Amino acid sequence: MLILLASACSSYKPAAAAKAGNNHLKAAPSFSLPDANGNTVKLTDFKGKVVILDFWATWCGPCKIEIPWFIEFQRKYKDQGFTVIGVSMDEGGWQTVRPFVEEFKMNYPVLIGNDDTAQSFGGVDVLPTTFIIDKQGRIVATHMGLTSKNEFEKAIQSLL
Amino acid sequence: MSLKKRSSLFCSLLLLVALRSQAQLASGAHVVAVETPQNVKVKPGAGVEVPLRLIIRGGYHINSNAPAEDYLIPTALTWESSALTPKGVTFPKAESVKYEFAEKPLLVFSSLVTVVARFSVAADAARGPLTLSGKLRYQACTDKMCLAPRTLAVSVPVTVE
Repeated sequence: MLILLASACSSYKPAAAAKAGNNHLKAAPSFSLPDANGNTVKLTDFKGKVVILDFWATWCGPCKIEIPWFIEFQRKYKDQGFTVIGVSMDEGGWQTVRPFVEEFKMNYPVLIGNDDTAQSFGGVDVLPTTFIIDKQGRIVATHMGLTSKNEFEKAIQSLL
Repeated sequence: MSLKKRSSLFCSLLLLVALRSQAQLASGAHVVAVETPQNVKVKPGAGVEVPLRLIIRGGYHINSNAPAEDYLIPTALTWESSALTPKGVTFPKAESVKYEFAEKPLLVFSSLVTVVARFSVAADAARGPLTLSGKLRYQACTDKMCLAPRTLAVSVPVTVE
């Protein structure tokens, strides 16, 4: 519906919004979540890095399309100050998530999320929901639902 | 106000409405509604079938009761204990749909489906009105995104006569 409306309305110019300054950007909320080894991982541990923060779940089909891209990005840009962080919203915790991480050979930090974390990011009901965070820890973009690989990669390259 | 300005204002309002609808969805709205019969009558010692119509929002599907893949969350209907004993649920035949995100076709429900819950009534059941209380658990997706699993309360008024 939005696409149809945007096409019909000549005054709708997403490109103009994209060119707006960065002063309005919000800082990404901090969180502390457990990783597979029981260690607590904080978003602030990645300060100074460009971060793709991906909220996902094992039962989410569209998430499974994006995860191989994120694995590729992690391999390609990790040494340039970039990381992906996956936050699983599976109710089953590591018992559910661990086999998936192993099967997909996920090479970036994966954490188990909770409602508080989701709420702090404005409520994450749609999966995948992906936040792109710049080196200053600010949310540059939010994608709800499957997004194109090219769009993610262009964002990473422009922020590095 | 010029025609161009009015047109622009109208489009802005439409976009605001559309964006608000999306935000409401993200805040936890259900994409499934359950239509229940309002006049179920049953005699002691007999059985009864209760049809429930699941109305699934356009563009969404929910997993069937027996999804094709283990990782998917099945649709399930459960009942709280009452004078009527649950005897099972019959789901309709699922649609087999191939999505970009899955290697093989998935078994899903979309649009409108009818689920039939069966109950038996004890021979010595007290006569009068009662309410069957159940929970429908489902997990919905489009071809681009998924919503968290949700549980919907289902309530069916029944009269034992």
